[in-house]
Amino acid sequence: MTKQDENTLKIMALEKQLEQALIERDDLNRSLNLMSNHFEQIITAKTQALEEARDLALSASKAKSEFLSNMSHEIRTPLTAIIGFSNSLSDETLSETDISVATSTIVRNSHHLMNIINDILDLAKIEQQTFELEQVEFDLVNLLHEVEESVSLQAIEKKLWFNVNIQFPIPQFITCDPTWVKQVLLNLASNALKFTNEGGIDINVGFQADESAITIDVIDTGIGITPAQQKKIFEPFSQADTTTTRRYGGTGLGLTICTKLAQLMQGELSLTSEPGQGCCFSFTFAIAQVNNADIRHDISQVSANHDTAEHLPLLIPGLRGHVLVAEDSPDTQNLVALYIKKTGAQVTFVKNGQLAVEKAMAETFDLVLMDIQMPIVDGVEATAILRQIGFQKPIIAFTANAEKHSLDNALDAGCDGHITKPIDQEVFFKVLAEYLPHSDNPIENAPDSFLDDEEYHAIRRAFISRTPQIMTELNQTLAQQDWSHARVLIHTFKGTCGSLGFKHLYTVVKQIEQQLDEAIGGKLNVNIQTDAMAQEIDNNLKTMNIGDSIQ
Amino acid sequence: MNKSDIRILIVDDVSELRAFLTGCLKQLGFTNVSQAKDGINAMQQLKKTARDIVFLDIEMPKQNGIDTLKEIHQLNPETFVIMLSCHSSLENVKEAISSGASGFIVKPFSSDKVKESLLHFTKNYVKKRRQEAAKKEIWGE
Repeated sequence: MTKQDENTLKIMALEKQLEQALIERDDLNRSLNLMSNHFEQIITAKTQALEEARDLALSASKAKSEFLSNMSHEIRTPLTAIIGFSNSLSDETLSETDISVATSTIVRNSHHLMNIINDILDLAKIEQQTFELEQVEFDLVNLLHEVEESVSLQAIEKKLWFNVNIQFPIPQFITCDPTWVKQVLLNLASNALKFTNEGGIDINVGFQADESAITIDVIDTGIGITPAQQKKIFEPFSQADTTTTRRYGGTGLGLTICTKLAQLMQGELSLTSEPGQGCCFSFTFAIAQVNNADIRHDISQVSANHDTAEHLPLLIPGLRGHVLVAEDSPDTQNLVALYIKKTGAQVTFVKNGQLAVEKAMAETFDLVLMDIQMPIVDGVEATAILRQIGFQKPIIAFTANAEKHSLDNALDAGCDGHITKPIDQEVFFKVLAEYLPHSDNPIENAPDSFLDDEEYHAIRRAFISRTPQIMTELNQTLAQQDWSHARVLIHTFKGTCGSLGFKHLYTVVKQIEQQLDEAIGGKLNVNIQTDAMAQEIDNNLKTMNIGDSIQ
Repeated sequence: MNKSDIRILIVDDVSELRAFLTGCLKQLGFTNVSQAKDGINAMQQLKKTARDIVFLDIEMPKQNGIDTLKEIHQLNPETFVIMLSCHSSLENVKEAISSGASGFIVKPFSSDKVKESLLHFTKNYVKKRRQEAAKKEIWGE
């Protein structure tokens, strides 16, 4: 082989190698392209995901800043009033009226601010991942009473009815979170009150055995909500429209909180409403499995719970002046005397309307508390007579009748206001403070509550020891079917029970009063049982170690 | 109308009481005050000059206050009559109201009660004036 041949062979081999290399290069190029396409796809996908995530984050942050800006607006509004009016107080040329306007504005706005902050804190608490509901057994009937107690007074002030209707069968003791159930109920009830000016509020409570759930409907006869507004009101800081806040107040967070709580309790909060026709908020929540034995089929099976009510520290105003109290029940007299004396004011009692007129004219009083339902001359007539002959001092109707017409009658006759029985201490002191001159010596060492007060216990004991006698009288009138006489007896009895804190006796007696009303209204075949009342009285006699058992 | 334009007559058989009441009224700024010691004398005075307010005792000799009240009411139903009495029984009060009394003060009384009854008069007076003005406005003369 020549050198040239050798070279040719080498070249050929190299060419082949080159060809091979080129083929490989193309292959590599192809796979490179494939890979690059693949990467591109991945990157596009990732980018898209990132963009979405970014948008989500942005909208969350937008919602958050919207929330914050709303919140800061909501907080600044009352703060503006507080700061402004506080500053104005340093002006020495202000008149007394200006000062009292300023202070009352500050107080009102502070309360509003506190409500907002409480709501925000609640919402924050609920929204935390770690938020857990308690699972405690509690008395549902008792909880409903507590709600009724804290709301019914406002209802009476607005002359609205307020009824809690328990639809039997229902378990009395249920297991879930009592704090939040109560919170939702209070919220819905006070909303209903706020937007209702005529008619009233019904709370219907029922039990769905198959779903192990409680449903509570809060139904009002208020202004109602349009379909468009219905969607909005569940969002934070929104009410039906912006003028609502100005007219009705509120933080706009209540329903958001309620909806979240209902969801957390494996239930829901729904609304049906028509403008002008009122609203029905339906709150459902799950409870732990209930034993058949715990189901109550009517009110008589509801057992009384003797827990003493919680009482907040009470501020007793230091007052002067002389109060005339016209009240026929000796127990209410005792209680009222105790309250009034704590303020430092003087008190005189009369036991009917006739004596009220005579006493009011013969002596000088700064305030008259006039019970409406009294023997001989009732409070309305006594007030009318006093006003006719020129009695100018304030007269406050003092009544266990929450009915609209009896309040209207009292106001028409010339009463300046009213206090409802059972007596709420706080309201009572507020009314006294409004109408009596204030004393320069404030009450020192005022007790936190009357529950520890010996005098208060003595009054309770005195009342309970007399109950067997009242019971006998009641049974006699019932046997004679003298419904109206029985109604008078039971009515006075009920008022005293409530005022002296005999909650369960009050509930039982209220049922009898309703039955009597039906009987008086013409219902036939009325059969009024007083066993539950007797039982309850007996329990109290035993608890208080009083001898005369009635059974 | 100011306080001194309001014509007041006190009718009581006890001179000390008339003096005390006149004093109370003067202190409150009501100076146009005259007195009568019984119902008959009161009627004679009222027939000559009308009064805006009459303080009228119920227990008087010769003619009892309620009868005088009825006569005053017949003569001029506009007169604002405030009865004075030692007895605050509801029966008495109701009788006075139904006979046309506008006020009732129980003896013994303090100047506070007198002031209260004058405030009552003022309120009535304002109400009446408003009604008259409204009537004139809507119905003309």
